[in-house]
Amino acid sequence: MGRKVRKTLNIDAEKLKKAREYLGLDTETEVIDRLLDDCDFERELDAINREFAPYMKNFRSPLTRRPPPHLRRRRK
Amino acid sequence: MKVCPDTNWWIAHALEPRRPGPARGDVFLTATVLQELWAGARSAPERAYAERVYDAARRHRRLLNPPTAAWILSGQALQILARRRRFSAARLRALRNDVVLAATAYVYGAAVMTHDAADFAAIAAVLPVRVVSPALAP
Repeated sequence: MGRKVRKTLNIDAEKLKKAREYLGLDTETEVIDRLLDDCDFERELDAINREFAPYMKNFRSPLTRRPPPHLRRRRK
Repeated sequence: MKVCPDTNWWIAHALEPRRPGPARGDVFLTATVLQELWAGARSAPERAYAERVYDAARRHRRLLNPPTAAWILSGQALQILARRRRFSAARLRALRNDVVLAATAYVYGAAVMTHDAADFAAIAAVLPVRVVSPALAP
């Protein structure tokens, strides 16, 4: 988590209002913070995937009823 | 749209090349998926993957534990499926985690995301959860 800073943004006010209402948040700052957090989560997942993809090719959980899609295709 | 992917989505997703662009929906990791990932993690890198995904989901508030309501709902759904005699006891036991995943998604207002939508059709028939294919997710 970085430090909080004051930023001036040129932003579509109506779009921001709709997003705040849709997300059920109190402030516009919370909307931006939430969307930035979504983006950061996706970025982090992508980084994890890039790092671990070579090791996950044969991964299968014994608790799932079917193998992952890529292992099914390989068996055909 | 909030989505709770099943375990095989997480595995397939780990192998996909990155697709830059808008978010693919609000992805949430459920505790049942975490259990299945750990159950399959045999090597050190596989265990590290499960740990890193858990850590990222926890820090970003994307980890969903099944609340009591989800356990009750899943029990009720399994009872209905058992009563309809469409599944053997062994099949019902195999379905347990999928039903808990579906009930958790339902309680949190999310959809289940899976490559095996047909497998969830029987569950969705008794538990009104939305099931989406990864190809159709935003």
